[in-house]
Amino acid sequence: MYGDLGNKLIIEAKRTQQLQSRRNGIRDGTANVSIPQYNDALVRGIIAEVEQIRESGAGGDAAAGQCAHFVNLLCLERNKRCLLSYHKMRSEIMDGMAWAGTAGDVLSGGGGATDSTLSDQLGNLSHSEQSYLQQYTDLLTQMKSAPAFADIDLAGSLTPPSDIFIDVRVLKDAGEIQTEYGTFNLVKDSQFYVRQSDVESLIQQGYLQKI
Amino acid sequence: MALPAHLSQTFSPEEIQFLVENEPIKIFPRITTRQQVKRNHGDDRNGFRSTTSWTPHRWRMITTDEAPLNNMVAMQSTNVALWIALLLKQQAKCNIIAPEWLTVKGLDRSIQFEQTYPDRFSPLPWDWLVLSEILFKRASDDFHDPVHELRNRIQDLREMRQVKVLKGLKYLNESHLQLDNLSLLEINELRSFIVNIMNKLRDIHNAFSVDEQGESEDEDISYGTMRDSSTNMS
Amino acid sequence: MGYFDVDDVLADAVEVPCKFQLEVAQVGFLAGQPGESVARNSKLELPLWLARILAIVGAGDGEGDGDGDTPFVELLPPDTFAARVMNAVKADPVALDLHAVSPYFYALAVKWVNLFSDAELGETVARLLLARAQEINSNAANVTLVERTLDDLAGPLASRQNGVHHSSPFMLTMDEWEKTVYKEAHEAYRDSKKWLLQ
Repeated sequence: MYGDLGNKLIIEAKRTQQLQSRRNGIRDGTANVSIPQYNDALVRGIIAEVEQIRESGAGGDAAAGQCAHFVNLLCLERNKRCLLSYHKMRSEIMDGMAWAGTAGDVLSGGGGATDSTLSDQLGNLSHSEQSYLQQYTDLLTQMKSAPAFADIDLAGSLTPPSDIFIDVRVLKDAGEIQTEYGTFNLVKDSQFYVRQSDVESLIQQGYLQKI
Repeated sequence: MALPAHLSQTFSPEEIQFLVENEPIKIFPRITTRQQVKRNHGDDRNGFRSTTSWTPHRWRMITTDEAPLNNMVAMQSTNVALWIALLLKQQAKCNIIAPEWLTVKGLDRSIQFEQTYPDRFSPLPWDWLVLSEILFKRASDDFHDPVHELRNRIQDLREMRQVKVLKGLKYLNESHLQLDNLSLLEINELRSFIVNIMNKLRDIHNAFSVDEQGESEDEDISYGTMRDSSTNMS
Repeated sequence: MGYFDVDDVLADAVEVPCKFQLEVAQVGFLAGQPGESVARNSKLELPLWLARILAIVGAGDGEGDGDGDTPFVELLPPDTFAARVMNAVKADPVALDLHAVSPYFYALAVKWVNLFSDAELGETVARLLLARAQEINSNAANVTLVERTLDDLAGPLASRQNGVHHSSPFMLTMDEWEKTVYKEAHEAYRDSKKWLLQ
């Protein structure tokens, strides 16, 4: 029956959303965004079905013909909605990657990425999705560097700060960082008292932990 | 996304704390930021710019406006924003004066109110739960009453009010809700639940009452171009 | 709700029984017989996205103003709102396994009430919702902070398949929308409690 393939695609979208929301349910700040394999076969199948419906040319002036024509129209609409909904769901995940700052690692195919789970993400995207993610990331970079936002870290922590200086513990070696309060050599398991705004990005990337 | 879904609908408790920290609170400063009474005397004991005796300040805090930080006099109570009070407190430069409702006497009065009126909430300030929590943590030695007694009463109040909230939820409807005297944190933890339920009740309600109001087509029967094609067809 | 909303797209795929009011050639695929025609008065299960339009649109034989035409199909009451179910709804809303009745019960109910302006069904569903809302809320308010760390450790194969803690039998009976309500409420309660205890 027409529309069955669309259903399969949407059920897949639902499953992805459930996995996604479970990850986001754990709000520890470090974004863990991943995207499943693009279902190229199913998408092609639906598009083929659309072609088939269009070619069937059902119709006629009689009531029965109009009804058949109507059924075809509705099937087309349904397939369109399933396809759009699936792609919208995926584009939202990609937007999340861009904001979480993992998009760069994903696009570079994991080259230089510290997190191995990111390396196979690129292959899960379709070609159009890769270029979408690239362009969205570029757009975001552009916006972040706009003069109006020069003093604001748009991708920074969304938790209001309670103290200017905080204690942090080093989780992974991160080399030396320089701040206006001196140079810190971030060796694993050492602790520092630093200005929160200086180390925010390191906390987000998982090098440091606030204690 | 830029703003995670859970922050687009409601506040996080940290955000509420941030808002509460901007509320004024009464403190006893232990420092003086201006010379007390005497002006034009020039006998500044510290010899600090004694020649320009027409400026009465010893030193000034950097503020966007003058008051009240630049008028602090030791042991004379003044109102400052809570976050400043906490900062001064941390450095032992002030004592925080607990508001009147946050005393054993005041809390007992609120508890009394909660007991007397089963379907109303006592008129506590909008930040009572958060403020008391912050003060217990950061300024517990400034209370005249034993902190554990205050804590117990706050806990009692919270529980009594939660029971009333639960009772009230049975009367949710599709159109309105009144939550007098409920504080921001209390509303916050209910917000998404209440909004979801009320929205669905309204969906259901609208589904069968739209036609009665004489409006024609319902709104969610078709999406996109379907409606256009249906009018073309018939 | 919305055009792209995955749950709403799924809710639209729920099948409802229909009776064709006229013989229609070329749509045999609806009955699993491609190329055949569907006979007048034959009963078929059609997905809502198809049925709800066919049930309000009809065609005369090429003329007339269209308004008075009989629709292509007649919607028959689906099992979801059968008297048996409605009695269970009225008897004990909380004990009802709503997910078994339909994973998209409320979405379906709203659409159905809409199609037929069925105020009585609307009232019943609203009462059901309100009664179950209390149960959802009390489950959501049940926060133990230890449970959260266990979840973190348990990973994707844990029993929380839909982001839902199966801590009471009621939770297994929630429909998809109720699950999202539960989840959001639970997170709000958890965040407050975490803040108060920090």
